[in-house]
Amino acid sequence: MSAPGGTVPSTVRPPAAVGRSIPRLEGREKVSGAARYDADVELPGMLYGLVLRSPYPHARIAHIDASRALALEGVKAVVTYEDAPPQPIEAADEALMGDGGDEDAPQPDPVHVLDRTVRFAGDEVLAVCAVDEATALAALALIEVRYEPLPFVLDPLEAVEPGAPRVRGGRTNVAGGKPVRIARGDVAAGFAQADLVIEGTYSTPFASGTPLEARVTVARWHEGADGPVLDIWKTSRWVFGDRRSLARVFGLSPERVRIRTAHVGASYGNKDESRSAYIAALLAKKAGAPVRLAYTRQEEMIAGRLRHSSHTTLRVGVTKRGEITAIEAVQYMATGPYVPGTGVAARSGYGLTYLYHCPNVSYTGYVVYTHTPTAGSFRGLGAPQGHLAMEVHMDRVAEALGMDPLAFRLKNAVRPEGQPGEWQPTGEIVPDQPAAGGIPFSSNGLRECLERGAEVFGYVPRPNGRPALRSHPERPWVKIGQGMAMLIYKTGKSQAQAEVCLTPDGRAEVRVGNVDVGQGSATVLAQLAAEVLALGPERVRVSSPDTDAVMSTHMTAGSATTFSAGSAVIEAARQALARRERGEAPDPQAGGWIGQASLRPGSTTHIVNSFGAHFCEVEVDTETGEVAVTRYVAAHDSGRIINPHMAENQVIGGVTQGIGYALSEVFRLDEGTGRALNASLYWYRVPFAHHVPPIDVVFADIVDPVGPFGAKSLGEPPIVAPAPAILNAIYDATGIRFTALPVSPARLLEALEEREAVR
Amino acid sequence: MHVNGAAHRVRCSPSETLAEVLRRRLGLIGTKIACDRGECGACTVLVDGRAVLSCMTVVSTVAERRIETVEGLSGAGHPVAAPASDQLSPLQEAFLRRDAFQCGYCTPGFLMAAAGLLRAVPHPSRAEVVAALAGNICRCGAYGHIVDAILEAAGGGASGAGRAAGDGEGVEA
Repeated sequence: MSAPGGTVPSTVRPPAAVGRSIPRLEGREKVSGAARYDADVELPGMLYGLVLRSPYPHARIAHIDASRALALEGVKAVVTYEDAPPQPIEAADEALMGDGGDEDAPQPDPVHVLDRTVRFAGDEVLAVCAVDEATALAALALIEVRYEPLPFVLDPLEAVEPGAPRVRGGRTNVAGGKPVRIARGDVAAGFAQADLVIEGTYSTPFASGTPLEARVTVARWHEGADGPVLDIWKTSRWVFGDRRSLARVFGLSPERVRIRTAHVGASYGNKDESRSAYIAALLAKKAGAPVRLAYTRQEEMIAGRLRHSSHTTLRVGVTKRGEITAIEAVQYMATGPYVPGTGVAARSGYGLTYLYHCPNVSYTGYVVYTHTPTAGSFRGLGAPQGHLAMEVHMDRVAEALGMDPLAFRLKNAVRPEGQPGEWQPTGEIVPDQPAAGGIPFSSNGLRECLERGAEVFGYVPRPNGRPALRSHPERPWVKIGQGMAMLIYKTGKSQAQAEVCLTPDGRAEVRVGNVDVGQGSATVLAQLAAEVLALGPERVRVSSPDTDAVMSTHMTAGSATTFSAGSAVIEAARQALARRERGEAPDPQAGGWIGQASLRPGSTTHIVNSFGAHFCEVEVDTETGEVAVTRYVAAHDSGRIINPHMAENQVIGGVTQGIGYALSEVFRLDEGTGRALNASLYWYRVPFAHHVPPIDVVFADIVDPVGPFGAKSLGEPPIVAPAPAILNAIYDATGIRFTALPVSPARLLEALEEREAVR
Repeated sequence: MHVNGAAHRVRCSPSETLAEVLRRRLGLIGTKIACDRGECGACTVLVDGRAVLSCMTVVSTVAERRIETVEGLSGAGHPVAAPASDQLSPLQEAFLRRDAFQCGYCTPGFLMAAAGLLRAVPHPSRAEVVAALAGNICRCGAYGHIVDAILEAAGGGASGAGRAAGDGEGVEA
């Protein structure tokens, strides 16, 4: 095999900025309280918008009477389906997640915001704006809406039945018209070679990202040189995607739409839809004044984006010697009405078919439209769901073989040379990654993660794979267990553009459209530029996202910013430097030497992936049913770490969110009405400080030959492994094998009682 | 109202929340409203030195009390709505140094909860710090670094923790 054909060579000299734990560029603003977020944007004469949401999961709007509301003093406009432009909206997240579907399949109805049909309890019916929020709220109460309720379906397994109500028209509720398939080898032959076939079913619920800054848009229209201009501030992780969606729906050329975002109070993949901006713009147009539309916490959780729920059936064939001969997975995910989300299935299937060395694999993933709140992208896309199934299942397989779970993984983890088989080169290694065998990784530190993670954790082998069922020495009703899980995550390859301006006084500005949503990308991009320019990173500024000021680039998604935008920044910085070194005069307008880059980083011969192995200890209180995670070690191969302190923080954050996913987070819908039952931070339980143990983070000593200065993806991987690691630890402590999330105290007590009853 | 050491005359409905008055009428946007119902702690401020949830506090009940916001932690603490001072408190410096946040939206609330703790308990144990944060959500999950930062600020000796620990200087200016 030839050497990885990267677009960016690895380090050319000792790092000056890369590898240093410098504080975040915007850190002082954030700790002083001066940082301005989109929620803090106020414009003179600004009105306040509110949305009326459907109480029904599926209904047709028969009649709207807003006359009493419009008569109320201070009410400036009401917008309904009658005001909505005829063009469908191309939601930014649809643009991302629609890939992987079948172009020939019958297309579902296009998405209209403020449609006459509502498709989930919480869908937008109309919106009002007024001089203040209290008046807008009073106005909503005066509006009469008559609905014709329609049959609805919430469960993806029911929604794929032939007679199920159709969510988006078309012949089927399966997004893309058919399932996502990933296959390699011959699964039937693989099962025929197996001495043992283990089957299991796993499920995960809807989960809410619920970033603390809820979605907010401030929209205003003004007259430009040749027509109206739409000027928007919004919480966004992709300003250019928002621009495209809004330009399309309002019939404007993209240059007449400007999207800016200030600091973003986190995203976790969530803030990619353009709906709130669309409604705010519609209100602002009708009222003739700027409008602020801010979601409440409840709206953020119901009308934001959820993690897809999932049901996964998994069959794994193994020989007595512990070799895996076949893996077959069938998965159903509920996606709600508006986002096809087939990319989520592809992510899930990737983990299910690529984490373990196996010649014969098959994944079939149905992403199913449902009359539930919308699922979209949320940190890790489908990977946490797929890994939950895979990594709990492999603990069972190890036990069936009488093998230690770690030893089983060390034997079967995917190796640096990739999956077995022969690759038929067809060009570049595509971003959604082949399931075919025969393609090596650019680097693979999975074994190092397993070995070093186990060492730091103090892993105690279970030679027969059986649970140890340890009791706490002083509180014997408390059971103690250890668990582990490993992970694979593809590195985000996206078309990226960047501009770097190097000034004669030795400063630089990085202009990129990527949004720092709190993950720290601005700081990391500054470090990459500083490294090339041999400047102190404090001398590098990173512009804030503004479609009028920076070049179009990819979404803050897929753990791609360091890898993709970073590669573009490095190239742009090199060009700026080359201009100076050639003795060119600085660009008089920019006041410096300009470098620009547009590229799609990656390799045509190697797969670029990140890896990890997590180890944890739990204490299970059999009296209260509470599970406390008491120790945690997260070992990651994300290539070279650009900013170790921030990287550690990101891993700790992902593990923390994973602990919530494992033990407490479930977004509940009432089966009879489809309405959300716990859309609040009190009833939807996210982890607090006292739920999280000290988390040791270990980074594998890997410098990837393809990634910028050797870096690979980091943002999403940490949330992928905690849930299966914790469930495996609960099994080790209690002997109870949970296969569904979350393991709440109530479910744990129920399981303990059931076991008592059997005895 | 007495906010960050300065007296203010504010015209508002007596039923407005303290959080709304701070943000809208005084322009102190450092105080964040994330749930608006006392579930997340993002709006935490100090009233007479104790951490309270400003979104759950009716402004008329704190008219005569000393209110401190995140803006009051840094530099001279006033005039109100001044841009960020160059002078951060040791607690803020520790948050910056320890990377005790990601998106930063919860940070003012955590800083004020920590400031309230350090007022009462200048040298808390790790368990005391964790307990004092029981009402604050960091959805990015930076708890480990937050706890480390607070302990670092508290362990910085009397002068180091002075500002945050509320020896009467700085915060109350």
